[in-house]
Amino acid sequence: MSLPHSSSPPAPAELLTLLPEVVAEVAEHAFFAWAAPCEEREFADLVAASEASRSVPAPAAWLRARVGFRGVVKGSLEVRLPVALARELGIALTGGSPADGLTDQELGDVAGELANMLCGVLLTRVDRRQAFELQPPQVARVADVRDGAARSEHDQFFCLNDRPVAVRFGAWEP
Amino acid sequence: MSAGSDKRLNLLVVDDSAMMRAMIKRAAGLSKVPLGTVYEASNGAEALRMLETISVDALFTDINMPVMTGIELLAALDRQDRWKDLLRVIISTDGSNARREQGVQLNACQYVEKPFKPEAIRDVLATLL
Repeated sequence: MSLPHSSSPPAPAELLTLLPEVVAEVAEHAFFAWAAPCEEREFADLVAASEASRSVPAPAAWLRARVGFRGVVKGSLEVRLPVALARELGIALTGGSPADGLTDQELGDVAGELANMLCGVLLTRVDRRQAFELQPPQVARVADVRDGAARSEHDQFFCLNDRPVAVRFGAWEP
Repeated sequence: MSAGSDKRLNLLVVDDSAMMRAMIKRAAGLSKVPLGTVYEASNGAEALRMLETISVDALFTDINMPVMTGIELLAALDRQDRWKDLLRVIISTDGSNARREQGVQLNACQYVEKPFKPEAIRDVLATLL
């Protein structure tokens, strides 16, 4: 696949094309989970269901993990997922039991590792010849899946274990 | 290194993510390879300090880590003969040929791409038996 050199702006079209299969692969191999793309309307329904499933209101029930990447293309990838999903994925990742609690640090690790793996597999698929650099994941708890962010044409929506996950590409920030 | 049949393998897992370290430990535990102690370090510098005081048969390292990267760690190990028998395994999301070649040049004889299935860790450990 031919892509611009790293000094060029991100090429989200190629990344967007590869993203669904990469999300599915990472979900299955790392987290023993199932994932598929979904439309924005279905995503909104999953968000509503996720909000409704919480027994007590949580002020920051979402995790946002962002990883900058620089290689054959450069930019950033941001993943947003419910904290409850991060907990499920963390238990699957480590083989724990649902009764096991995860610390905030561990939940952040799960979100960060998800973003990290998505970036790494995507960039390897784009051009297997060239190495790349990934920034350490920046993870934050946020109140809402949007968290003030406007709808972007690069937003991609997924259903992962019947829970909503949003992925967005952005610019590289040194 | 050639391990005897009754030998338990000591491992050092180097990754800045505690969850990834836990996943690698879990995969190693599922491998049915007899394990001794699985040590953990969160970056290359911490791993180097630990290696001064512990004995391990295999080292699994991530690449992108704060303080000291996995590549810097491998380069540091490569500069000293005392680590020549240590099995070095890179576990990374970067599966590029360029990164793999870099690993080979630093005597990392195995390369596991994330995400991986537990069998990948078993296959690596099996080479020590």
